[in-house]
Amino acid sequence: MCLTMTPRNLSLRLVAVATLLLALDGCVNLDDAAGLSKLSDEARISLPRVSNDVAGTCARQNILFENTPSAERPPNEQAQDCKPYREIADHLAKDENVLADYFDALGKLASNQPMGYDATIETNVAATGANSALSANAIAAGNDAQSILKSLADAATKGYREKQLGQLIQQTDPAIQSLTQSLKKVITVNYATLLSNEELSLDTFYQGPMASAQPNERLALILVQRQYAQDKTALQSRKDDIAAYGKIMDDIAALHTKLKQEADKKASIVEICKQVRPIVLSLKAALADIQSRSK
Amino acid sequence: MKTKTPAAKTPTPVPQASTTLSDDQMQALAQSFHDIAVEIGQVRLNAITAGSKLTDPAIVQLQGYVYSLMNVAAGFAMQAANLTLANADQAVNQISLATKAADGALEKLQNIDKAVSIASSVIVLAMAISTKDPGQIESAAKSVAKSAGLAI
Repeated sequence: MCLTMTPRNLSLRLVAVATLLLALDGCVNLDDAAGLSKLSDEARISLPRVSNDVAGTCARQNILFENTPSAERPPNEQAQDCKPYREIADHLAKDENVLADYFDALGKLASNQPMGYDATIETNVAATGANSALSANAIAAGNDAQSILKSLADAATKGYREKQLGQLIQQTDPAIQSLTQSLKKVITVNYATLLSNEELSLDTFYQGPMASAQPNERLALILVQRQYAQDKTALQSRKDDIAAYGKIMDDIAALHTKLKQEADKKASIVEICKQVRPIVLSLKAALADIQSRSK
Repeated sequence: MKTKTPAAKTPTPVPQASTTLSDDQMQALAQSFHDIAVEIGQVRLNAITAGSKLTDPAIVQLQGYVYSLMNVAAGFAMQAANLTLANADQAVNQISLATKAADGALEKLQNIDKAVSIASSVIVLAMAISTKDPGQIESAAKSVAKSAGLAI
């Protein structure tokens, strides 16, 4: 067996390896494999667009309420107080940010860059503190987010590098699984109820006056019908966002499970690329889906 | 040797265990109140289609109930995580039976006064839940069932 290699043979081998890596979408480390940093950037844009609407739906319902003539509603009836919903939306945005921070940190570790999270971690941990006015799912999400932040703080303090990546993934997996499922439930179940309320508000706002329209109000009726249809379309688009959000959370959980499995097996980068690629593509599509609807 | 027989103890009442409602139970309550709001909205719309005015007192009252029930549903869905009830499962059962009866009765209802009566009893039930008093919840749940025509 020949143990020495001529410079020409070595160059050929390097070219062959580089070609293989390029064929695998440029996978040279885990960050390339899973596109962790890019995913984290996309998540920071798309996820709050959905969760912010926990407060948005309250504001829209109040507009409908205020535009209902006072003679058509009980005098003691008040518009909703949207402050608690804004607090919940802020809380969810912080939890989503932790998720994005985490994947960004994985990306940095994977490409052996320093994490540099010390400054933000303290603030975020304090900001996600318990809020008794939240649903159980929102509270669970907050606790998981804190646990992930503590792991990140620990990793930053101990100066983790690429070789400790598997350790971090294994350590945070239960919290990632729990956080993604809690966020999914807050949006697909709790927030979905708020949107159902908004749909009822819309129906109540438009259908009554439309049903009592006089024959000489024909043209005005057509305009109102169009506005109603437009509002219903916007509502449907928000319902579609709920489905996409649920899929994103499932995909993030599946991606992390896969990364953990590959870390357990000490798999090669090429193998990790192969394993996570379908999930990453699905995740990118769902994130883009939300962004395309919000344009 | 004589053995002492223990003195007969007077039975002490066993305190009812308080349980915090699970998120699924909270969501089920939210859904029930939302569904009733939808049915009341439909009764209101049917009445308007049949010729009632938007400003008729009963129509205005139904509109108010729709708002109130939606607020109750939203509260259960997103905020009130700390609802702890004595005999929670039993209470949730009573509420569930009552709200199902109300939902079912409203579905085919044409009589607007009857709808007002059912809706008002459901609002009282929502207020009873917020007091966390099992007695009030049971009594309010019975009233809902009664106004919906269910004998319990």
